[in-house]
Amino acid sequence: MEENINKIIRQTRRYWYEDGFAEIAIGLLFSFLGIGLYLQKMAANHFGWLMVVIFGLMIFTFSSSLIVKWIVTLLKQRITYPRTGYVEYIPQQDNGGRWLVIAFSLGLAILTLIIPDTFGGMGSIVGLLMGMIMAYLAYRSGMPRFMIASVLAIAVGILTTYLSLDDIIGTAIVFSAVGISLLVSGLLTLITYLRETNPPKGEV
Amino acid sequence: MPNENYDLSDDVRDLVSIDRLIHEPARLVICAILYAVKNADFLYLLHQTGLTRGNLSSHLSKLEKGGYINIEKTYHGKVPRTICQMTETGREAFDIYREHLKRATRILPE
Repeated sequence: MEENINKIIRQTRRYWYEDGFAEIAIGLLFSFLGIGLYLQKMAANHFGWLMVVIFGLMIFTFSSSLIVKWIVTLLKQRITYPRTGYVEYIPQQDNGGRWLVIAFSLGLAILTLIIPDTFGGMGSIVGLLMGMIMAYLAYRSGMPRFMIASVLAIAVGILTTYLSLDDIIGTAIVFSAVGISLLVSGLLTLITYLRETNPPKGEV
Repeated sequence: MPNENYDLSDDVRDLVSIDRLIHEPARLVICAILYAVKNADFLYLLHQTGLTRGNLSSHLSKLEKGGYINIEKTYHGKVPRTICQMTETGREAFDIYREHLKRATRILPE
C-alpha cells in the first residue's frame, strides 16, 4: 500500500516530462551550446568575434535555466494543460538543478582556461560531466530515457579523445550529440503524447 | 473477563483509528496526487484517477468539507479552471495516515 502511494507521488512528479517539451528544450539548449563552441573555434583568430561568441555563450549558459523554464511553461500552457490538466509544483528549497548548471558552466570555463591546447582529453572530461548530469536527471525525474543521453555523452566524449579531435571541437561534438539525442527522444515522447491524448469535450 | 481492547497494541489501535476520509481508495489516490504538488486542476485529477466527473466532484467535496483540500474556481484566459490544493491540515493528516499505515502493515502476517 505504501509502495502504491509512493508510486503515485513519483508519477505525479514525472508529469513535467510526460509531454517531451522539457527534453526538447534542454536538447535545443545543448545543441545551441555545441554550435556556439564550434563558432568559438572558428572565430579563434578574430579577437572581436571571439569575445562576442565567448560572452554570448556565457550569457546564454547562465540564463539557460530561465529560458528553458519559460519556453516549456509556454508550450505546456498551450498544449499540455488543456489536454491532460494543469499542475503546479512545490518550489524546491535546495534549487539543486540551478546550482548544478552554474557549477558545470564554471567548471567548464575554468577547464578551458587552465588546460593547455595540446591536452586533447577535453571531450572525455566534458562527456563524463555531461553523463553524470544526465544520470542525475534520470534519477531525479525517474525517467530512464535520460540514461541513454548519459551513456551517449560518455561514449562520444571518449570517441573524440580517441580520434584526437581538438578540445573545443570535441566538446562541441559532445554537446551536440547529447542535444540531438534529447531532441529526438523529446520529439518521440511528444508525438506519442499527442497521439494518446485529446482535449476533453465540454467544460471541465 | 477483561475488555479485549485493553490487550490491543498501539499498532492495532492505529489501524482502528485510521483516517477513513483518506482511506477510501479514490480519495487516497487524490490525496497522494495533491500531496506531491502545490496544486492541480480538476482535469489532471480526472486523467490520473480515472474517475467519472461526478465521482471525482463528490470525493473532492468530501475532502474539502473535511478541511483537507481547498478548491478554487479560476479562469485561464476564457477557459474555466478548477484548482485543488491540499491544505496544511490535509498534509499533516496524510502524513499521519501513512505513518499509521506503515505501523499497521508491520504487524500483519506475511
